[in-house]
Amino acid sequence: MLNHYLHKQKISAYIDGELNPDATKALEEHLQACNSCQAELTAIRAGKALTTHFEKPEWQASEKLWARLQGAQSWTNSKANFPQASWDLKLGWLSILNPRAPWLWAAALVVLFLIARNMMQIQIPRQPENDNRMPIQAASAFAIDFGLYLDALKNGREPVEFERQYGGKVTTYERAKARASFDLPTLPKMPEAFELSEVQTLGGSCCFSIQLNCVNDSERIIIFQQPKEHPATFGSYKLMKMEMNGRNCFKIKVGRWTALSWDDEDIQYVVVSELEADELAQALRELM
Amino acid sequence: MKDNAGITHERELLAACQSGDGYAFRKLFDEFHQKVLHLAVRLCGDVQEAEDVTQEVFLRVYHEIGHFQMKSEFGTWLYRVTINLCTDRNRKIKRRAKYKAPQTVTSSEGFIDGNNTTDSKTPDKEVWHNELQEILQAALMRIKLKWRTILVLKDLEGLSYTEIAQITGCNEGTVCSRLNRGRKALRAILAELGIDKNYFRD
Repeated sequence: MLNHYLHKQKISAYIDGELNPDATKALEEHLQACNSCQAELTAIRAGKALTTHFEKPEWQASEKLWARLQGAQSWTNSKANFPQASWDLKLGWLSILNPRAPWLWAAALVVLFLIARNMMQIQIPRQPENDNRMPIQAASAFAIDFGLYLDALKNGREPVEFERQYGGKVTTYERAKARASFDLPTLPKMPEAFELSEVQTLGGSCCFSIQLNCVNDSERIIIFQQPKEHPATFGSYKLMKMEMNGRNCFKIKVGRWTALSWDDEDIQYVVVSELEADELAQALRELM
Repeated sequence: MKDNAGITHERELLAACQSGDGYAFRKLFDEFHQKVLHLAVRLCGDVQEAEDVTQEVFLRVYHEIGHFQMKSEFGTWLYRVTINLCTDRNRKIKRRAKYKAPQTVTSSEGFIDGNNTTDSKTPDKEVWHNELQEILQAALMRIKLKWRTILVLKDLEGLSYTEIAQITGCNEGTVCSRLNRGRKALRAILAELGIDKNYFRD
C-alpha cells in the first residue's frame, strides 16, 4: 500500500522524464499491475496535454511599468540609500555586520534577549531517555509554547512570549476560513458532545494559523491548524513519538496540558488539552 | 538553466546594479520584467493586480539587491519574491475572486497581445482563440494556489523540478505531488466545461 502511494506520487515526474532509470522501471512495473495508478497516469497526462494550449502573449508594457516604478514614493525617497559598493559580496556572511543594516543588529539583540529570558523562566520538562525520542517538529514547538503559556497563566506566573509572538484575533469560522491559505476540515458540524466555542486567527511571520476552541463535556480542546510550508516555531525541544488514531504524532506534557501534533498532507495539526493523551486521541477520533 | 556566458552577463549586470548604476537597473528590468509579469498574471488572474505585483517586485529588488549574494540564481530569487507577493495578494482578493470572473490578459489597457495581431487568423478563429485563452485562464484560477503555482512554473514556464523546489522551498516529492493534483484539477475543471483533447482536434 505504501509502495502504491509512493509510486502514485511520482507519476508527474515519470511523465516529465524526471525519474531516474531505476525509479522509472519500478513505476512501470507497478503501473502494469495497478489499475488505479493507470487511471491516475491517464488523467495527469491529459491535464499536462491541456497546458500546452496556454499561449504566452507578448506584453509590451515595459515603458508604462518603468514609469510607474519611477513614480513610486519609496523609489524616490530611497535613492540616497542605493547601495554604493559591492563590499557585501566580498565579505560573504560577514555582511551581516553591515552598518547600513542597523535593524539586523536590533533583531539580533531582541532574539538574544528573548532566549535569555526564556531560559531563566522556563524549565522544559525532561523526557526520559528513550530511543523513540525525536527532534521536535515545528508544530510541536508551537504547541509547547502554547502549553507553557496556558500553564503560566493558570499558576499566576507571567505568561511567556506566546501572545507577543502569535498575536490572536477572535473571529468567525467563515472569516478565519477566508483568510487561511489552506483548507480547514468541516469542524462546524460538531458531534453532539462538542461545541465550537471560539475561532481565532493567529498571525505568524508569513502566514496565519487557525485556532479552534472546542468544548467536550466541559473539557476544552484547542486545535491549531497551519500550512506546513510556513510553520510557526521557535525553541528546540525534544519529545515523544506516539501513534494516535493510526497516525504518527508527537506528544509532550507541559504541566497539566497535553500537546499532540501531527502532519497531514499540507497542514500541520496541533492539539492542546488538559486531557490525557489517550483521552485526547479518543475525543479527536470523534471530532475529526 | 543559463549557460556560462549568460551567468557571467547576469552577474556583471547585478554587480553594476549593486554599485548603484541606474542604467544597469533599467537593463535588469528590461530583461526580467516580462517573466515576472507572466507569472503574476497566471497566479493573480488579473492584469492590474499583476502590474502592481511587478512594480512591487522590482521595488523590492531595487531596495534589496545590495544584499543579494549571488549564491543562487537571480531568476530563482525573483520568482520567489513574485510568488510570495502573489500569495499575499491572493489572500486579500480570495473572496472577491470567487464571484468575479478573472480579467483576461487581453483586456488590459496598455497591454498588447501579440497574438491578436496575427494576420493568419480569420476573425472567427481569432474570437475563438481569445475566448479559449480566457477560459483556460479562468480554469487555472479555480485551482488551489499552491497547486497552481507549481503547475504554472512547470508547464507554462518550463522550469525543472529542482528549480521549482528551490523557488518554492518544497522538496521535489512535494513538487511532484502538487503537480499531480494541479494537472488533474485542470483536467477536471475543463472537462466540466466540455473541453478535453477532442475539443482541439478541429
